[in-house]
Amino acid sequence: MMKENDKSMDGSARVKLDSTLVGSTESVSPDQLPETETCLNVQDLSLYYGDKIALQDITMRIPRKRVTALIGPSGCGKSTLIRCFNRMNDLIDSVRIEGRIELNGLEIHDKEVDVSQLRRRVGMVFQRPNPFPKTIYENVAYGLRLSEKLPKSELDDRVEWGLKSAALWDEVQDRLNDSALGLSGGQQQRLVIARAVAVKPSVLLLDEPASALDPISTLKIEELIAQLKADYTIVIVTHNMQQAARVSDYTGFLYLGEMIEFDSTVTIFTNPQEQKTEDYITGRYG
Amino acid sequence: MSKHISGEYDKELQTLQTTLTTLGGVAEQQLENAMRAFLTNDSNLAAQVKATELQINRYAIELDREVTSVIARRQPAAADLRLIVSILKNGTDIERVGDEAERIAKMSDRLSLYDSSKPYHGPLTELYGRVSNALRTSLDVYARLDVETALQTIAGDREVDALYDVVVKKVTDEMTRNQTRLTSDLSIIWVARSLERISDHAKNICETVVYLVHGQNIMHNVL
Repeated sequence: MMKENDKSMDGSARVKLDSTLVGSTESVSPDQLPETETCLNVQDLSLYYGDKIALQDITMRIPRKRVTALIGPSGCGKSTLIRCFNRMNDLIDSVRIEGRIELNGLEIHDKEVDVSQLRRRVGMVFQRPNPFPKTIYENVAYGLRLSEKLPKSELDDRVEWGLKSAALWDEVQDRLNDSALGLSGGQQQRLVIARAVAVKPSVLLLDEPASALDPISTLKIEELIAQLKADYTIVIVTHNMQQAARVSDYTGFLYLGEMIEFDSTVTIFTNPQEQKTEDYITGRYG
Repeated sequence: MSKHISGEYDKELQTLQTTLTTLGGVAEQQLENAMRAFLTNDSNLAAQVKATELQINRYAIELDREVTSVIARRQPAAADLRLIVSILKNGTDIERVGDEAERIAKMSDRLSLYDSSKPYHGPLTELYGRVSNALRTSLDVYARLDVETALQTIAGDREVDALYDVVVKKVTDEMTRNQTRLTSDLSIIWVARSLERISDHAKNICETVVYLVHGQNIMHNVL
């Protein structure tokens, strides 16, 4: 939850950065965006593992076709929060969730919601690339076959489109029938993104997608994120603050399960309003 | 502000601030010496100001190098980023104060003899007093992050501008009356111009205090 304005170095109240001075939509607070631009609307979300509270009263509006980064120290609830968006936490018995999450106006916890369909609309990519032990082609085609019945020619087109969307086509077009496990880590991660993108989701959840990759592969993933946001709402969890600053339009700082501050990335990285955010961003958090 | 987890980072930022403070102190002394040299026709002191300008330039280059190094290695954010930006901007402003002080010292050479009985003497010395005070205050409020005094100093720049106009008017009146000292009289205008510019630099430094503390850019009266 947002807190009152904090005190600054000299004890005086901080002044909110005037977004009109920056002249970029990315400097506008998500709260200032019209409701129609909200993709995921999270209201008073709390999550418990048994008796232990892991997320506490999270309220945030994740803008559509923008990149939202979640940052915070280990154990703060970033991954737990992102996993709420496609109900991955349902797989854990001891989890109890309170509050609401609306995807384009639809409450995802409603009984009539088909979780498989939800996960098709809200794709997810994990820290370590997890391609199936199948061919490159089959990795992308697999999800498509489950969700849609497409003629072979159309399936081929969609596989090609998915691989192109993930900026991998040029590297694999001549070896689509090779095993995906023969690809490099960076290529495997882009293949997994191709797999997620191929089923045309609304949202892509990226849980530390580049933390196991070398710097060049990381940059390719970041470049890919910049391209994908034209068509998808992207939520990325990252430990790398500079990555959050580079790729995201909005950034949320989580600490001990609370959303301490959620604002435009420009504001978070130049003039955060909360002392805890300031301390974490500047490396003063101990 | 609490310390960084990295003590080395704290030291690097402290080094930047120390270099900037030193630069500011030298520039302040340069202004004082330059004006004294000009008003008292002290050519030795004027030569000293010109020589010290090289020292200011060296400090400014060193500051740029240190700032670049910290940006490259630390990728500063939030308050640290604003601090770095303010140091870089203030370094430039202070270096230009040094340039103006040197220009004032050079005007001594073009002056046949400063005549304190002329009508422009009063406004010129008042202009110098205000500018000198503005520069000292700007460096002080930057060190203390005193936003209130910074805003007062920014407002005071208008009075400096008005005084500058008075000096120019008095000198041009003098030039109209007596055209035998045109070069000397022109040098008075150039000195007043340099003082007015130094006041602008002091104003810029005060504006960075607001930016540093509140994250708001108040340059060019956009607010």
